[in-house]
Amino acid sequence: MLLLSKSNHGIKMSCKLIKIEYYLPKKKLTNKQLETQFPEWNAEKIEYKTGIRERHIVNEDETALDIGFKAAKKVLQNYDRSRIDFLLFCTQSPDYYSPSGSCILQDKLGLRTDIGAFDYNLGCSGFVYGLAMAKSIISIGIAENVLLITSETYTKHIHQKDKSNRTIFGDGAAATIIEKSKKKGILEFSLGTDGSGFDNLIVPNGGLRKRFDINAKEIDDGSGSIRTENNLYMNGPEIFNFTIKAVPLAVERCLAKNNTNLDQIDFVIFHQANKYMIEYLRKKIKIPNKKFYNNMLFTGNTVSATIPIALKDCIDNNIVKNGDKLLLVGFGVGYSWAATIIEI
Amino acid sequence: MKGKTNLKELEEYDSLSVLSIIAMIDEKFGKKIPGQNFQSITTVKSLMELIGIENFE
Repeated sequence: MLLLSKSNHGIKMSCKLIKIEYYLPKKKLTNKQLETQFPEWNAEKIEYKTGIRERHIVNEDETALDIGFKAAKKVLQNYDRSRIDFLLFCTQSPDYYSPSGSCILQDKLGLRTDIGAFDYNLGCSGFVYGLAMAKSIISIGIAENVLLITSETYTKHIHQKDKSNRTIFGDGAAATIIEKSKKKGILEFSLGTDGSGFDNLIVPNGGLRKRFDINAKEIDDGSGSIRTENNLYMNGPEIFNFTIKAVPLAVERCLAKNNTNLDQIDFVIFHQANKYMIEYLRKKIKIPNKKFYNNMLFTGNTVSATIPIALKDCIDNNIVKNGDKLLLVGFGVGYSWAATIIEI
Repeated sequence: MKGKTNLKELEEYDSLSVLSIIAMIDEKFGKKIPGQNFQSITTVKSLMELIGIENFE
């Protein structure tokens, strides 16, 4: 106890989100291209219904680690990289089972070797979880400047004939720096987990339970999308049912934990799942439209990268300003969800 | 649209329509319908039965 209070200098350490950058792969998949492949699809209709016009797709030889690296390189420009003393890497599309991508990234980014680094496997809740871990690591004095990389390439798991999922998902990576600060920049969290829905959003084959099967049969879902068990499967209606149940509660608990209410919150950023779903959640929770971000026009759903991408865009376009209180909520695959309030 | 109208034969019916129906049932009736039950829906009447016909009397 004596040692702990000495290392803390008697002050409980807080932290703040300092910088965000993101990277989107160069190659794009537009609604027009989807319309060409699926003639029953209509480019304008896709945009109207999903809020997505185009998504970025990695090349065959490009991984989540590669685009995460590019996002991190951007965020480390004009930042003394020797200050980074912890690296967190969130992806569900790792280069290897072993070693951790974070170790490879430490070296590629030229970070110090006397720092902590690990990977964690989460999807749409990954960014808010990363903030929770960064806050913990900083507040107990393990590190002072944490680099959080959230990077995803779901398109690698999606079957070329899977119309629905190819429409929704895009690839992207974000890198965020969280620093120790006197002022409280990252407030309290409300986290949630319910594994009973694990098989409603899943890549069934390719892990060690069910190996990748080169002869996997094509499955037609009856609505014009085809996949195999090697590919990403999403039960859209069940995922929607889950979010209707979990997200309003997560928001309520997070606000209660912070002794605040929606009126005191300046802006709300949800995981950008799809326009229709988050607009319904907004109405259900009664969040005013002017306080709510709904923009995935040029990215699609980039999983753990959507919230930092949205946050960066809100900061750059002066949609949010210094001192604003923001409610962030991530939810999806697992099921896993997380909410917090940050002050920027 | 009539009770006998087969939803799945409507040009506008797609995976997002199912989400709209889920949203409508949640909003108007405060009910959650399991995703797999939507496979059995064909007509407007079958949808009303799924929600509970007592809600329409």
